[in-house]
Amino acid sequence: MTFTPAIYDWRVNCAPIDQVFRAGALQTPGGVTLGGYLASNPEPGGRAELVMEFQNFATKEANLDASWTISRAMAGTVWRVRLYKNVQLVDAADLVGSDVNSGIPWNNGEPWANGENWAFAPAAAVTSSAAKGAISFTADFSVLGQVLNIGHVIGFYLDGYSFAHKVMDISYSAANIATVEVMPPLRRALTATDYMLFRPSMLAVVQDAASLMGNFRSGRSMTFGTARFLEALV
Amino acid sequence: MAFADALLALTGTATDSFDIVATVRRCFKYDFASGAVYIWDGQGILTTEDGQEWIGTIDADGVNHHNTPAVRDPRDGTSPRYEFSIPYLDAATYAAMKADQSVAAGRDIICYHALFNAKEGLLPQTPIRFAWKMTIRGVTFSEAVEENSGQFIASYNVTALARSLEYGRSRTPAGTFTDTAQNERARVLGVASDSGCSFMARNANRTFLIEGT
Repeated sequence: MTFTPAIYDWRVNCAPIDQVFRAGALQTPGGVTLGGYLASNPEPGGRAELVMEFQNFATKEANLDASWTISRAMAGTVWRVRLYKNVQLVDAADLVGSDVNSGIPWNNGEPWANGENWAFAPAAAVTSSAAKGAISFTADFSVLGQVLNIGHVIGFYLDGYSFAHKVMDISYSAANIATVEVMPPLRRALTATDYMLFRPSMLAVVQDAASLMGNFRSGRSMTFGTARFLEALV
Repeated sequence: MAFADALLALTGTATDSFDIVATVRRCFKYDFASGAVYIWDGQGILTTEDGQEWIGTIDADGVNHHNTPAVRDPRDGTSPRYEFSIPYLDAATYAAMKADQSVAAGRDIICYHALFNAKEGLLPQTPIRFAWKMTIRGVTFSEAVEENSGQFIASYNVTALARSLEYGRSRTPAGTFTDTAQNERARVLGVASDSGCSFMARNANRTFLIEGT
């Protein structure tokens, strides 16, 4: 029987000031060496983790969104969290040769009326199929060049779900076809018609939803506690 | 490569068990009448070499929600009672299992071992190995609403009671071995006579002296 959770978008207004993405993996104790080093075995698989820290929410809209978010999070909601721009994502200047980190404006250079630009969703084509549970796939970087490195976070949008993966190892062929090794393993099968995203989102659950909430200081402004998102295995 | 060969390859020339690093996890098949349930001790979907998918029961905190007892070697003739429980089912699955509980008895729980090599992710290429099999004797159900740091969780818990195949081995056989009974069995079978128990009565309560001591 399939259980389909409700998925909500993490509110754009509730943007973090600090963020880090980690491909989490458990480990089990393996034994102690003669020198006293406690060796451990890595857990196969594991799941990704995203940690965010927040500043005071300034605007009324952001605070209302925060009010909504704390209650949704308590109900164990699965969030679609778009990773905010930081050094873990491939720099926009490497992808298009110009700085479009804050999105793409209209062709007259103006943003939308709310000050936001068009979303920027660069991608690279996947060149061969990979099975669900595998940890490596190939992608075409012949146009972009060798811009993807270890430590970068990439993602996929498959079957209506969003997945984020950390690049653990990468090698480029002479034609710049990259063989990418990722953690955690692929959650869905890839085919040569899919695209690898440079601006990933992930599906996650707030681990300690009770500590996310702050009070509305002076009745106006809330600060979230540290949000620790753990990958929701949908 | 077969499971034993893969394990042997990982063992290599190691002379101490601490030098061997082999990642092996258990996979469980609950062969219910309404359809088998495949779960494994891990996170995420495991796809074994035969194409079977197994659902991981370890949550984001590293807690394994699938409670499995330590299975004992049955060669001493005992058959302990084992309880396997699966909490945090969704309500619909719980209801479906409850509706099917009368046919759960007699079904099998089979445990396999899966071996993970490096860089295989959740896609191990080594065939899984059979570890043990149990027979479900009954299923119990419980449901509760729990409050955990402000969150209210309605949890549905299913417990399967199981025994190993040694169950019932100590029961008395359905019959007694006497000369009369054995000759009657021979007659029913159509054999003229059976002297297999001729000396049984004479040998009862008798002290045997061996090597003249």
